[in-house]
Amino acid sequence: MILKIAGSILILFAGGMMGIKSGLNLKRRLWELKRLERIVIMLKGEIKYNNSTLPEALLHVGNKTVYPFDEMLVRAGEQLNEYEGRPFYEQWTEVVESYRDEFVLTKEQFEHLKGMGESLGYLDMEMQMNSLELSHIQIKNYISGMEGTMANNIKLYNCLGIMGGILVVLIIV
Amino acid sequence: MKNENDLIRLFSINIRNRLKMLRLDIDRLQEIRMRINGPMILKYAGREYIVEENGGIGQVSQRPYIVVQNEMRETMEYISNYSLYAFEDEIRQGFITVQGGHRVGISGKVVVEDGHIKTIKYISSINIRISHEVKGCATKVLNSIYNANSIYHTLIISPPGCGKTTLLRDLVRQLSNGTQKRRGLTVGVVDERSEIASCYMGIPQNDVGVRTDVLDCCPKDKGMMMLIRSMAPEVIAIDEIGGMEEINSIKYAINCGCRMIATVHGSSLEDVNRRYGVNSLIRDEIFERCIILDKIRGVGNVTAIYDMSGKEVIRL
Repeated sequence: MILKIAGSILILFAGGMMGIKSGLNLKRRLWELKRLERIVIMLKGEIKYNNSTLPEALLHVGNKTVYPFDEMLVRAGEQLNEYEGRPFYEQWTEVVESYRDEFVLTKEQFEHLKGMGESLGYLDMEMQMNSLELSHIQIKNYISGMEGTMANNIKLYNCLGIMGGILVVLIIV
Repeated sequence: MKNENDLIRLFSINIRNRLKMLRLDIDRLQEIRMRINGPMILKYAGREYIVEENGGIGQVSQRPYIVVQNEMRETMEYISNYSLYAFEDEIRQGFITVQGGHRVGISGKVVVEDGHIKTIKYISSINIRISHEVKGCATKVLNSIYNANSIYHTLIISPPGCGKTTLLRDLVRQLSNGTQKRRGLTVGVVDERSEIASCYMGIPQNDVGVRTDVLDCCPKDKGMMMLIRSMAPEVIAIDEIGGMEEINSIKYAINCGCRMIATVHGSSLEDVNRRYGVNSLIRDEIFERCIILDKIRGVGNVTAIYDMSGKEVIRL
């Protein structure tokens, strides 16, 4: 009996923790999106006002931001400076993909991050600005979408975690 | 010596491999020309060679290596470091300066908007002129431009490809470092095309001396004003003067007490004297020394040095 009670408590605890973890992931995702928004703004500044090339811009912005963005941007910039002989988009995608596990962005948001490399470096300054502006708008949409529902979602995840735990306890015990 | 890899990595992978196979001595390489659907031509040690399909080179080739459109596109991507947008102003002038100071001339379809060149698209041929740093090449003219306390205002006259930028760069280096008998002078360089100091991210890649300040990619006329106001140079060095604004700025800089070294395209003093604008500098005896270069006895051959009255100071 004691074992059953101990097991139930552990299951309830684990369920609760899962709920809290999911809530924290939401907060983390919002933080990542806000950080990404700042990165896009900084890239715009680097390209428009400093007239930096893409590797320069990535290195400069990378040195001004935090993990995992800093490491990812610096690595992309350094790799481009190696002139490996591959298109920008291919190299950007490869570097971003290697940091997949460091982000809690949704699949769609992560695909957007990868897709940012698609039009960078192509055509003129106006094109770079338009492309970054488009990314900026999309990220803003992600952020506003999350901010509107985050508080409720966190509560929901917490409840679901505990409820899930109770359900498992009821089924097993 | 320039880094060979810095140059070779500017090309598409196929071309890179061929150039690596050639094991060229970059110090003797002067030009690489590429044209879509045409052969790749190198100017090496004063002679032209065609790159062959099998990786060799020859002055006449039965099977030349033909450059295709994709290779040109890829090469332009590397030349611009994946960022053609960052070179819009330079492309409008028809060239890009890359790391190492090499100048890439471009031709293709010119897009004109409101009477102004907007860009060049469908780039069909490029000409990479290899920048060379020849330390000591100015030693033979150095004493001729020194006066009691400083230097004479000096104009270097030469046709294209005769080494006037190389001579100017070494003059800057030697004046800036000074010699055992002469103190070093503070030199300001307005390097509009990044050919003198070859700055990369603001840092000179060429040795331009310990007392040299460089304004990289800055229009010459504005750069001279900026240097005078901010860096108080004793000597200002500029390459390839021509426009009226530049000429007015030279006069202003000289009035401010700066000594001036400049280069100009031309084959002789008479040739420059016929050119509107620049001739006023000669007529008004602004320059006190004129160094004439040609390449009859090799690039950078100094034929004569004249004083302000057109009298030959030295014939070499």
